[in-house]
Amino acid sequence: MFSFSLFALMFFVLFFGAVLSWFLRQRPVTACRIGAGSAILGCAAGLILAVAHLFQWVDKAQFPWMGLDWRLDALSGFFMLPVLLVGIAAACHSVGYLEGRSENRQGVYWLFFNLTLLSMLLVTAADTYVELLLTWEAMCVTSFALVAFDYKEDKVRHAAWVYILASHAGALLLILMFALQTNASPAAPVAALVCGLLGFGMKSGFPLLHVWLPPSYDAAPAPATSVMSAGMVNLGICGMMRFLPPVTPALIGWILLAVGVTSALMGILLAMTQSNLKRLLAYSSVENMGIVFLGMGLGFLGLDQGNTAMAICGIGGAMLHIWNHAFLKGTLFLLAGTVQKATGTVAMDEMGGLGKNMPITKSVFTCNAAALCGLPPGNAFLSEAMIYLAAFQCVVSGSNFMLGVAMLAAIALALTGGLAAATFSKAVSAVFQGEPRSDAIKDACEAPRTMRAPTLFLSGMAFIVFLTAPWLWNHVLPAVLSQADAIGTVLIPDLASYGSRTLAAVRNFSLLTIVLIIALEYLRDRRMRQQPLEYKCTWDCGYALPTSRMQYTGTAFTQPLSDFFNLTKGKNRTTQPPEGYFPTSASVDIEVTDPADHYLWRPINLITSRIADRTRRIQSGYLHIYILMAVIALLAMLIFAAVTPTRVDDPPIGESDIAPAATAVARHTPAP
Amino acid sequence: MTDTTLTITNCTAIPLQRVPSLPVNTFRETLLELVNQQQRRVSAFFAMPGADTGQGLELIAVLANDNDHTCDLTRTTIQDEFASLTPECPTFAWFERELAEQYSIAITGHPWLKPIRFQPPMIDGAADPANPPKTIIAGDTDYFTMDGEGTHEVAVGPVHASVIEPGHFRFQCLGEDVYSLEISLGYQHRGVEKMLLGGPDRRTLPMIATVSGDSTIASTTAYAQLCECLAPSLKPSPDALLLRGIAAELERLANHVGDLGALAGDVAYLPTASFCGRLRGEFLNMTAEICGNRFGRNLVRPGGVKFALTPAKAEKIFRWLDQVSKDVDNALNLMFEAATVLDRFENIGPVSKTAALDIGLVGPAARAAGLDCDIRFSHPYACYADTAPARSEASGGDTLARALIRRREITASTKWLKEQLALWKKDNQTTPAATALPALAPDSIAVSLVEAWRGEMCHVAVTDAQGAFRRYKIVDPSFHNWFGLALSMRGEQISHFPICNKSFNLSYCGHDL
Amino acid sequence: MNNNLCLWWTGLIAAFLLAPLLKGIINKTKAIIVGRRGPKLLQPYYNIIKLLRKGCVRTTTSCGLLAWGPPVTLATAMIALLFLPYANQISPFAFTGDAFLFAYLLGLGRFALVLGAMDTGSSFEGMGSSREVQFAALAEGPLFAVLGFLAISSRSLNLSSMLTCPLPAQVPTVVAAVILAAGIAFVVLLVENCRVPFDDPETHLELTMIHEAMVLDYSGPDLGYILYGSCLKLWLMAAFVWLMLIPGDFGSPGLMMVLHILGILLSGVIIGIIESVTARFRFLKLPQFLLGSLGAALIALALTILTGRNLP
Repeated sequence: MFSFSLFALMFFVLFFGAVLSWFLRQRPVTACRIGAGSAILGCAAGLILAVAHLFQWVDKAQFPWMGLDWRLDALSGFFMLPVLLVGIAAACHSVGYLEGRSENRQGVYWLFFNLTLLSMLLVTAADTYVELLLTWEAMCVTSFALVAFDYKEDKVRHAAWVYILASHAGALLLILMFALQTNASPAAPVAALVCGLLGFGMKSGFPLLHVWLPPSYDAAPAPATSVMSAGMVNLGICGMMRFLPPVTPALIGWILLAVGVTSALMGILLAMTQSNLKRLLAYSSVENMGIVFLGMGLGFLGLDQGNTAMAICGIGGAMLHIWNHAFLKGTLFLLAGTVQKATGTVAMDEMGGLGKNMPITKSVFTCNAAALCGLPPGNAFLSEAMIYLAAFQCVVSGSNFMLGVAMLAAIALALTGGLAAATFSKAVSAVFQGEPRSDAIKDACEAPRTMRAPTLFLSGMAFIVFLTAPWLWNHVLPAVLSQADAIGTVLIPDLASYGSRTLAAVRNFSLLTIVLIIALEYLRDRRMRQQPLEYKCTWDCGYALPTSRMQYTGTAFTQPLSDFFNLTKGKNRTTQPPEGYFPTSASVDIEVTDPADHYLWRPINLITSRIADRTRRIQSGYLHIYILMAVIALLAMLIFAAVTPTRVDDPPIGESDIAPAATAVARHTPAP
Repeated sequence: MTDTTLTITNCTAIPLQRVPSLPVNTFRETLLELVNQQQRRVSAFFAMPGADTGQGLELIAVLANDNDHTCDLTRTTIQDEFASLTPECPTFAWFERELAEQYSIAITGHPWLKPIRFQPPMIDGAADPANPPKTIIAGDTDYFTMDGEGTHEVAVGPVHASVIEPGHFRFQCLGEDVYSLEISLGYQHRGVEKMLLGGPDRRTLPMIATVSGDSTIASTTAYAQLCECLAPSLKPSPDALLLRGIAAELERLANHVGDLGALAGDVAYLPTASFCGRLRGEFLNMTAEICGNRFGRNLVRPGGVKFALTPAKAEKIFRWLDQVSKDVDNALNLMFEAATVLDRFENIGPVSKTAALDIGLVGPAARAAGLDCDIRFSHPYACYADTAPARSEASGGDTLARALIRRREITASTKWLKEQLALWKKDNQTTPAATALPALAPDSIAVSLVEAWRGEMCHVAVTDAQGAFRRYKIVDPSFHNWFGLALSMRGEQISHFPICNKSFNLSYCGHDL
Repeated sequence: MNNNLCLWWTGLIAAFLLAPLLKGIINKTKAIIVGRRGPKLLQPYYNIIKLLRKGCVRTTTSCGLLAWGPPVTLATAMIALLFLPYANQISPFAFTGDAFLFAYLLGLGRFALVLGAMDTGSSFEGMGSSREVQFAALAEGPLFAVLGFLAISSRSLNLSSMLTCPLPAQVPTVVAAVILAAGIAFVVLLVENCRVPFDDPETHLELTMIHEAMVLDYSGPDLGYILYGSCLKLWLMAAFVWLMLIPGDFGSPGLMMVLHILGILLSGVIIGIIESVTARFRFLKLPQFLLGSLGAALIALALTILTGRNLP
């Protein structure tokens, strides 16, 4: 009853808040108040619900409502929590972010913002495939509207178009997965697994399927992006944990490991080369999901090999990383929105020197960026350390082959970490440090309190996760994993048996590092108080007229690395070199296109549209030709029916048939 | 071409009237024809005020003909405008920028008409209280900039981290890739040319000696030769000429050895860097042994040399040189056999032969690009008509070629020096030259070319009716070569600039005057 | 046990006290080889003390991160030193997985220094930082391969046991693998500490520097912190390589400690010799060199996986 009433409360507050703010769209202030208020209230209600389930204060609840079945348990709580917390922060941030938007757009924004939040929360509570598909679709459509919010820009329309296409392709694959689960043929489970992985992976930025992610994150308003990056990418994993067809740990382990390594490396390489702040963060999401998959992959392989410690560290680390990434990336996107609001651009090469005018934004961004690189003392290091530990567990037991693979995975993760440090030092330095590179951003000023507070709030959440990680590991994660029965994590023995000592030690030494840094800082400052601290301009080699062009741009910062990985050669670099002895104009620009987009999807798109062009010829426009075609088609079907033998033993379609195929469906309890 | 130019040999003075004064258009065509079609090099191209006020400015060009051992002289008179030759012939670019700056001539059609030394005009304008002259800030000019969001600039200098002269380098970059380099000098401008007007007097020789301190022998030799041809009574003895040659080769050795050591230092190859740093001092000390000054400040003077080289000293220097040259050989072998060093030099900062020809490179930098230009052979002076070190050649135009040509010149000069010192038995033939200069020929022009260790150095003097300098033009080899350094960095990695720069090792003060 | 703990603490204190000496030894070696007298052995101490007593000039461009670079980089080096087994004594702070914290702490120090450098808005510091992150990112691979190698050959996951595990020296492949891996660790040492052939700590050329360019605008106590931090880092890595090569515990504890310190100081001589006989590589060659060492590290890994693992 507790679960149901809070669930209903959350639903109604979010839903009616959305609708009401849309009706009041002509009065932007009211619409904004209602929209933001209802989002925060609804999320607060959800928060109580999520925390109660997460910490097992209440038992897992399954109840029918509105003709559908819902399920609330620790797993729902685990995936709800980032959505709720980031939702609250983003709602608050949106108030400032949307200020000055044309009148009725605010109402529209809040309508879809609240509905997106709601549908994401519902996805986590879906009990059977019916609810999942319904809520999944609702989430796709509402978030599509958010992506297309600035529909007047060409770029945004294109991104939204790609987004809806990709979302529907994903949804279609999910339908296919559920359909295949009812099929009895031996190939069906494998096909279902592939469909499921691709369908859920579409949302979680599987490599090659990630192409929708950067453009739509770039297009959507920053707070909306923040919610999507913190909540939505994880829902793919949530879906996998609940609804994937039964599969051996070895298979899913290998798949996830391969996906994870590719995703992590590709994501961070592309993130590094971006000159658009939001796209950089978006690719970094791809990278972090890669790390999550890598951890899971190692965990499942450990499960397969009977290496308990490896299974615990891998899957536990991955789960921890989901939260870490959600809070850190949610904050970073909000901060990117703050910067965008202050400067009117997301092009890092036009920014610079914002740190002096926006000290709080700068500090929060820097801390979060450092933490997201996996640097201690940051919470992402805790999860990455666990994933390393998983990989290194193979040295104790496991086959030689497994050991070799795990070592390669660890090296890939290390390389990813190094590149992430490069990426985020580029982001911080290009945006906040040095001198302003264009006049337009000289007058940028610190964001209002409504935009600052949510970022501090979310960073605080990240810090709490950091402080409580060992406790979460021992008390929360086991409950969460025990609910993810679709993929067999229930087989994992108690997490508390391994790893929490390392987590605690890492946390304590991280805290010690912080203390030591502050102590050294204090000592130095005390020493320096004896002499006056002078402020002079940066060393300019004595040149009389230094300009802001005389500093590294973001693109230049990562040019050596991106050149080395061959990302800035050829088509990605447009050069018009200085010609002759006395050139008057020359230019060079680096614009890294996504190889998956360029080499895979564009050719497919091209071929498809060519085939479509060809087939259009049969569309003559004469009615009699169409009738003739219909007749031919009917005839063909008749002939087909005549030659194939009829299966008389076809059972009537009912729920009981689906049950043995999918464990998730098996738990389905009919509505009273 | 007798009607448009006057052909003279190196170290010759002739009355200015004999140099044909052409209409501006014929003047332009003649220059373009000679430089573009007949492989003349522009040795000097300068302006001076007309003999009487209101006569406008006279432009005088000295073109070297390397095949004929001669120079072609021609001149014209302009008011305050001259249509640029640079678009058709890039080698004039620097000379025209100098004209525009020194005499406020409007050079129309020049693609990069920017200040070159940030110097005030040579002619003092009447003070105009309503319109006071603008304060000139060195380095304040329009630099070529690259477009593109990611591009940026790297500005180095005028104050450098190492102990070198001031100059401002502006790179257009994207990360490590350099797309263009522009060099803005003038921080060392002292107004040497202006101070030399009305000479020669007692200041002249010291001033000439310090135009570029590391090329003292070359520039004092050039000056002495000018005086000697303007005043035929000052005929130096053959031994004095030979001693000038010996001193010039010692100067070349010292600087080349120092440069190679610095190159090694820049790639962090310590042994050669340290050895060469010491050995350079040995050569300087040999010069000091001859004249008491490590840079040869007071050795060469009009009419001969100030100090005699006794056979005993010659013997001492011979043995000294023998020892030092072995050390030099060892140090250089070490460097040129280290794969890591060669890898750093190879294909770095190449200047093609065409480009070297087009922009008029001189000296080792030009020879490294495969050009055959060496005044010691093309316009022999001093002792070089009788005896000279073997010619050195290289090709490729990259840093390695510029290092190799230095090494070969070191070998050739050492060998020649040893030969000459072994033969040196003549005492007291190099009698000190007269301290007082006789009057110079009035209304004349004289040209003197010498091969400094950096390349061709050209001094031109024009005397007035009293025989005083009406104009004294100094063209340091660096004046020709700075643009070569800028070109060599196009498309290069910025981390290669130091070795590229060292491989040219150009003079800032020689350029800035 | 108490005795061993004392020995370990002695090792730690020796690290804090003797770290600048290692730089002095490198410089002295280089000077002797090229025939100069060179700076005094204790010159790094004088430099650090002098800097700590001086005033400080900061840039007006800074947005505040500049000031955090030096304490962070020094603190991370200090904390990382806690995990090494000095004189083959297990560190009292050892825990499972401390090797990762060790590696990432160095990363944090570097990150802070990079941001501090970028805070000046100078193109030289930009250049240095850009190179630093490039080589550091590529050096992570070899470093983790070496850690993996150690974990496999010692079958443990804490740095102390990894570095103190006695090796079966009678098996030639194991010895080969150890030497190979120690070689790679030495390459990582050279990269991490910006030594020739990756960087030239002596150079004055802004355009070719890495580490020195990053600290161009630091002065006084800030620079002193950085200098001391880099000395500690050098000691740390030298100790790491030395501990890899020392096969297990032998002799009296005192002898072990003397050997330990002498070994680290010896590595200073080796670095000095290397710096005297090689030129720096081109920057474009360095990533290839690092990938090559990753390849070599993988060979060492494969060797231990295939042979070392099955040994008793």
